[in-house]
Amino acid sequence: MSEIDPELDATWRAASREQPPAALDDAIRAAARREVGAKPGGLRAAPRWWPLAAAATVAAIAVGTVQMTPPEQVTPTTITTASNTSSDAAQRDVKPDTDKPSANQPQREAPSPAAAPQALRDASKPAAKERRGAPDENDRGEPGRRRSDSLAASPSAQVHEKKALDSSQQAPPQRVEEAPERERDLKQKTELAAAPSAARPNPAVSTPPASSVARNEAQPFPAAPVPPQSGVDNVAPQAAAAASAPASVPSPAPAPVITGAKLAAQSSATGALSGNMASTGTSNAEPAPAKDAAALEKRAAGKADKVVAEGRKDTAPLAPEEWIKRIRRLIAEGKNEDAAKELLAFRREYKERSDALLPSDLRAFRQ
Amino acid sequence: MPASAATSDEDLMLAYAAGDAAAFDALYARHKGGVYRYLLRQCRQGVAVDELFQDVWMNLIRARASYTPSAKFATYLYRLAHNRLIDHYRASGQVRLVSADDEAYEEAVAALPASRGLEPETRAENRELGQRLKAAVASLPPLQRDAFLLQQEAGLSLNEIAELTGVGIETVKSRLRYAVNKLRNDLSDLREVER
Repeated sequence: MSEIDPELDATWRAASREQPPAALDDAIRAAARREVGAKPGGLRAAPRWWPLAAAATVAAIAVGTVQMTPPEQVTPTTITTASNTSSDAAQRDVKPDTDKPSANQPQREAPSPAAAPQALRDASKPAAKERRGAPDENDRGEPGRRRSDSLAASPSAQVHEKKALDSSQQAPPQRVEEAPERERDLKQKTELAAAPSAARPNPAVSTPPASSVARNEAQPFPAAPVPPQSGVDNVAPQAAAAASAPASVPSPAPAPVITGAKLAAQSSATGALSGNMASTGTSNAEPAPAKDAAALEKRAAGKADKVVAEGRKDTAPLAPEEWIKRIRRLIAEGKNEDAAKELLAFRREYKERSDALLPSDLRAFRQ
Repeated sequence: MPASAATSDEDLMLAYAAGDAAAFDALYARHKGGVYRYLLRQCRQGVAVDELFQDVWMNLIRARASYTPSAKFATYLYRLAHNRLIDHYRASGQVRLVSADDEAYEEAVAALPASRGLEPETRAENRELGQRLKAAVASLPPLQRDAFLLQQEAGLSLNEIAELTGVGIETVKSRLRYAVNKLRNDLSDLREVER
């Protein structure tokens, strides 16, 4: 290259040998390492484990939420949406009644309106717990066991599991028989409330409470999220009440009046639902008394109890009033043994409240 | 990635951009002297040279993610140094490297005062060839000096210098020719003595 003088070039190379200070070298190298170690490395490393960490976090939150949520808050909602079409109007009619705190219901603590369904469930809990036997415990234990197996590894998961089990033992297991039990419980309460007025022969005085009783009998749990089977359960007592007391109780609201066609439609719908529910491990209204009876059969030792259990199938949906009428009828027919069994069943059903519900003659009745 | 002598500058830079700090060390070891001397010859303030030198490498570190080996790494590195130097000149009020075409520049070169190396007292002080040469380079017009230093310190070709400085290759040739001639003239008396 003509622009380069080799001699000059060599002279220059020999003369020009300056180097940057060592401190400057160290500073620049340190800065270079710092930059690589901090930003680019961090940014590159992030995509590797961030998605996994995010997915794990989401999964943990989901599992925790599912476990901490009592099943009743999930199941009824989904089922209620299905049953809304059939029991929509009825629910609307009865909601105000249940939201109102009643003076005739001493067990209730007059909670907030939002807590009303829970209060109803709590009120019916003792009797329901009593009646629920080994099968229910097994039903409850199975998913619980499954969950505990899957989460046995981590202590925090065990804590969650315990919480979930506690909650499932306290409130939600009534799902199987919840509807009939709650229904019966409400009926008792309404019966108690209506008892003085019903005893009075004056229809002018007795009509308003009677009508409210009729409303409550028709829609026992409107405020609570009612599963579809409860709609069908409502039908049985109502039909029974209609059969036993045809004209004495006028029905003011059109919603509670259930025609035969509607009954058939509802029962068929329930049948369809029961198929689904049976497949998912839960129970619907129709098998509930049967299951209850099965529980009774297991608990009972003798044949007499079996008979009572068989009788319970019929009497379970009956209101105390109807039940008492039935017992009286049996006594009148001279079937004292059957009457005693019915009475026994009645006492088992209503426990400590049975004395309050029973008339004095039946209270003292012995075979 | 082990930085061997066979590894090209471009590969080292890519390795550093991928997070290999050792690649940067190798790259720095290769080019630190040249860059430092390039800045030192262009800027006579020692403190400013250190600052400029650090800025150049920090700019390289920050720009590692956007680095693509489209050209020789040395061209990339010395462009950073060149640009930083121009910024420094602008900041200090001595805009010397910008916008001088060759014709105008040659006239300007002719009008420049004689280099300090030619002065009798300076000549007496700088007896050694190396020092004379440094002084001669320092006395070069900036654009010639820039081209000379890019060729000597960075080892860039005429094309690369032309690309870096943004002028034609003929302009670079001309600048270099002027620079070398001036240096020869500056050192001629010493050479004659040596012969």
